[in-house]
Amino acid sequence: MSKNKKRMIKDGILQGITYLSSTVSLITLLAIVLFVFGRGYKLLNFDLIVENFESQGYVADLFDDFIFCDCPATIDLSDDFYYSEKWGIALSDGTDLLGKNIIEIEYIHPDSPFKMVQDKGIGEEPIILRTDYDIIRIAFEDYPTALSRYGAKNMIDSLNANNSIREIEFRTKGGGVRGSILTTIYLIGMTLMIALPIGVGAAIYLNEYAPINRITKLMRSLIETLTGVPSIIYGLMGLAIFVPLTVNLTSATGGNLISGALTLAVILMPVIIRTTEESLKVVPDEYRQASLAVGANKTQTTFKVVLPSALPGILTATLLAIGRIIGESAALVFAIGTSIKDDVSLTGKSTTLAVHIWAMMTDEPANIELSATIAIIIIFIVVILNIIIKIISSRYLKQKMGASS
Amino acid sequence: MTYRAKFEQELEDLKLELIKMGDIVISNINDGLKSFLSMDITLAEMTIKKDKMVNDYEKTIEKKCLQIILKEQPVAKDLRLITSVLKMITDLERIGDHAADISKMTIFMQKSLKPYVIPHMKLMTEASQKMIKKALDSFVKQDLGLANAVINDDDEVDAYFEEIKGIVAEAIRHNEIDADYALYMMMVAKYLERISDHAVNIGEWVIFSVLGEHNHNVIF
Amino acid sequence: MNCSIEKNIIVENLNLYYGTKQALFNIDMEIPRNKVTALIGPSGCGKSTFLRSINRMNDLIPKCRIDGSITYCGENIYGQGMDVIDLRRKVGMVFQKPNPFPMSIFENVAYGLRCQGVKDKIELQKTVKKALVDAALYDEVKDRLKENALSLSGGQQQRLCIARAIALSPDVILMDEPTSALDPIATAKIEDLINELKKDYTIIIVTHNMQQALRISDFTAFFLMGELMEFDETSKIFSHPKHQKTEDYITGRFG
Repeated sequence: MSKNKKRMIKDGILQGITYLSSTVSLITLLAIVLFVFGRGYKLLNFDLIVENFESQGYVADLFDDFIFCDCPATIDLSDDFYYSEKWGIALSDGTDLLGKNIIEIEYIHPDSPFKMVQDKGIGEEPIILRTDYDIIRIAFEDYPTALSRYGAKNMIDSLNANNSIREIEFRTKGGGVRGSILTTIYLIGMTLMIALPIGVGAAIYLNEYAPINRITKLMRSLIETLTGVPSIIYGLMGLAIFVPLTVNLTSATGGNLISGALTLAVILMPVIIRTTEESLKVVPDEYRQASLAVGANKTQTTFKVVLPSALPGILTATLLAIGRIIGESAALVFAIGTSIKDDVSLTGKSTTLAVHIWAMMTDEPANIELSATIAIIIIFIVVILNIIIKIISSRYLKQKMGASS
Repeated sequence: MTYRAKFEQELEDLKLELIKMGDIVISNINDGLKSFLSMDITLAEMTIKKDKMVNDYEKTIEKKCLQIILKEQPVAKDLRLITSVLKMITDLERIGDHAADISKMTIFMQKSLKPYVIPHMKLMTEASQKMIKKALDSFVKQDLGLANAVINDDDEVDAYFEEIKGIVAEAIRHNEIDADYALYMMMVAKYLERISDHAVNIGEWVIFSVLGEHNHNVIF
Repeated sequence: MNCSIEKNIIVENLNLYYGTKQALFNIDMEIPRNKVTALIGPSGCGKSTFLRSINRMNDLIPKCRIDGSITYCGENIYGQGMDVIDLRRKVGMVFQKPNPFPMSIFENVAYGLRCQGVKDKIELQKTVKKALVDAALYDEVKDRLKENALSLSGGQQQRLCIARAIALSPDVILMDEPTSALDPIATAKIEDLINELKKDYTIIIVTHNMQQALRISDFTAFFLMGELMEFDETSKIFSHPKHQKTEDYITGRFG
C-alpha cells in the first residue's frame, strides 16, 4: 500500500516536471513573441519593407499656373494635424526613425497645388507629393523660411500668410529595409545552391557508399565537431579566405554577397550533412534490398529509391539551413560587412536583416523599436519560406509518389 | 526440456480414456456371456445399461480427438495416432454393442442353456477378451509385434466358432435342441466371432498408427 | 543459359561463412523446376541465408564468404563472369515484410523495368498490367494505379511486391516468409497466388508455418543448425520423415 503511494508520488513529481518545463518554454516563447510584436508593431508598415534605407531628398517648386485650393478637408483630420484650407495640405509634428523632429505630410487635398510639384533638378520632372514624405523646409519670397524645427503650426501659418513659395524641400522617409530583405533572400538562394548539393552529396557518400573504417569515422566526428564551432570563427575564415578570393576573382572590393554565401555554405554543410545522413539512415533497408532484388544497381537504388524516401529529411535540413542563414550575424559581419545598402549586387557590400538589426542596435541611440519591427519581418519571412517549401515538397511528393490517402 | 507438454498430456489422457473404455467393453463381454450362460436376466439388463457408458465414452473421446486436431494441428505420427484412436473407438463401440446383443439374447431365450457348448463359449470369450486387451496394449506401447499377434489370434476364435457351429449342427441333426434355441446359440457365437474381428480391426489401426499403412496400403 | 533442364537450381557442397562463423554446412540440393519448394527449420537454422545465397543477396553483407557452387540453368552463379544484376532479374525475391517503394502503385511495378532501361510507355503499361493481373491484384487497384503504394493493405502490398518481382518475367521467385506479417485472409490469397504462379515459376519459400508448407509446397527441405537435414516431397516429410530431428521439429517436439 505504502509502496503504491510512494510510486504514485514519484510518478506525480515526474509528470509535474514535464508539465512545468513545457509551461516555462511556452511562456518564454510567448514572451519573446509578445516583446517583438509589442515593440515592433508600431513601425510595421508596408513602406518599411519596400522603402530604401537611404532617404532621398528633393527640392521642388510649384507649377507656375497653380491655383489655390480654398477647400475644406474631405476627410476627418486628427486634432494634432494642422490644415491649411488655402493650400489644401495638412501637416503634423513627428519624429523620424532616428528620433529627430520632422514635419510629416498627413493629407493633401486632390485639388491642392501641392498635389504635384516640379523638381528643381535637371529634368524638371513633376513629382507627386506623398503623404509619407517629410518636409524639411518651405522657403518664401520675402518671408522667413519655415524650417522643420519650428514645427508644423509655424509652417502652416507661414503658408497661409503667403500667396506663393520659392521652393519646398522634402525627402522620402528612408530607414526601409528593402535592401536587407533582398540581401537575405539572395543569400539564402546562393548559400543553398552551394551547400545543398555538396552537403547532400557528402551525406549520400557517407551513408551509402563509404566503407566503414577509421577514415569515415574520423570524417563523421570531424563533421560533428564542426557543427559546434562558433560561427564567428567561420566569419574569420570567410574574411581570411573567401573575401580575398572573391576580391581577386570579381570586381568586389571587400566583403560581398558571394563571400558571404560561401562562408554560410561552409557553416551549413556540417548541419546539412548530419541531417541528411540521419534521414538516409532511417530509410528502411528493405527498400534498398527490394530495389537490388529487382535487378537495380547501387546508383539506381540510391537515386531512385533511397533519396526520394529521404526527401522529407532533406527538406528539414533545408529549413534548418534557411533558419540559420536568416539568423546568422556574427559570421556575416566579417564576410559581407555591416554597411546597409539599398542597391544590392553580388559583388557589393550589404547586410542581411539580422545584421541590419545588429547595425541598428550598435547605433547611438539603440533603436529597439525598429529592431523589433525587423524581427517581425524576419519571423514573417521564415514562416513564408517554410510554407512555400512545404507546398513545393507536398506537390513533389504527390507527383512523384502518388497521392497517399 | 519438454516441448508441447500440454499436447503430450492430452495424448496421454487420450490413451488412458481409450484403455478405460476398453476395460468397460471387456467387462461387458464378460457380464454378457455370464448372463447368457447362467440365464441371469438382471445381469443381462445391467449389461445393456452399461453399454450406454461405452457409447458415452465414444462420444467423449471423439470430441477430445477433434479438439486436439483443431488446436494442435498434429502432423506425422501425432496425426496418425489421433486418427487411429478415432477409428478404434468405433470398433470398441461395436464390440460394446455386441456385448449388449449377447445380453439381449439372454432376455429373448428365457431358458437354460444345454451344457455342451458352454466350455467352448467360455474359451471363445476369453480368447476375444484377450485379443481386445492385447490390441489396446499394443496401441499404448505402439508395439507392432503385439498388434500382429492380435491379427493372428483371430484364427483361434474362428476355430472355436467353427467348433461351436459343428456341435450345434450335430445337435440339430439329432434333434437334441429346438430350432430357436440353436439359433440363439449360433448368434451368440457369431457375436463373439464379430467381437474378435473388431479386435483385429483395432490391431490394424495400431499398425497404421505406427507405419501409416492400413492392410498394407500406405494411406498416410 | 540452358534453362530447359528439369532441375534448374543445383546446389553443390555449399558452405557459407559470416566472418569466421559458418552459417551453412555442405548443402547439396537439387531444386526442381516449376515446383514450390518450402524451406523450414527453427530460427537461425540458415534457411533464409540459404535462400538469399540463391540470388546473391548475401553479397550485401560484408564479410560473407561462400564455398561450393549453386548452378542455375547450367551456370555457376558464384562463378566468374556471372552478372549479379542479370541473375537477380531472373531470380526474383519477395521479402518478409511487404516493402513496396514509397511511389505510386504503377511505378512500383515499373521500377525494375525502368532500371533495366525500358522507356517505351506502352510496353511499360502492358507489362505492369500483366504483372498485376498475374499477381491477382489488378482488379483491386486498376482505378488507382497512380496512388501511393503505401495506401494499400498489407496483403495487397505483398501481392504488389510479387507483381514487382514477376514484372521482370523471372524464372525463379524466392520468398522469405512472405505471409508472416499478414492476416489469415491475406495469407490465403497469397497462398492461392503461389499455387497459380507455380505453373510458370519455380518458387522457393521460407516459412515458419508448417501448415503453410504443407498446403502450398511440393517439396520441403528441413534445415537445422546450418545443415540440410532432409529434403523430400512435402507429403513424405510431413507423414514419414526419415530423420528423427525432422519428426521432432514438425511435430513440435524439437529439443
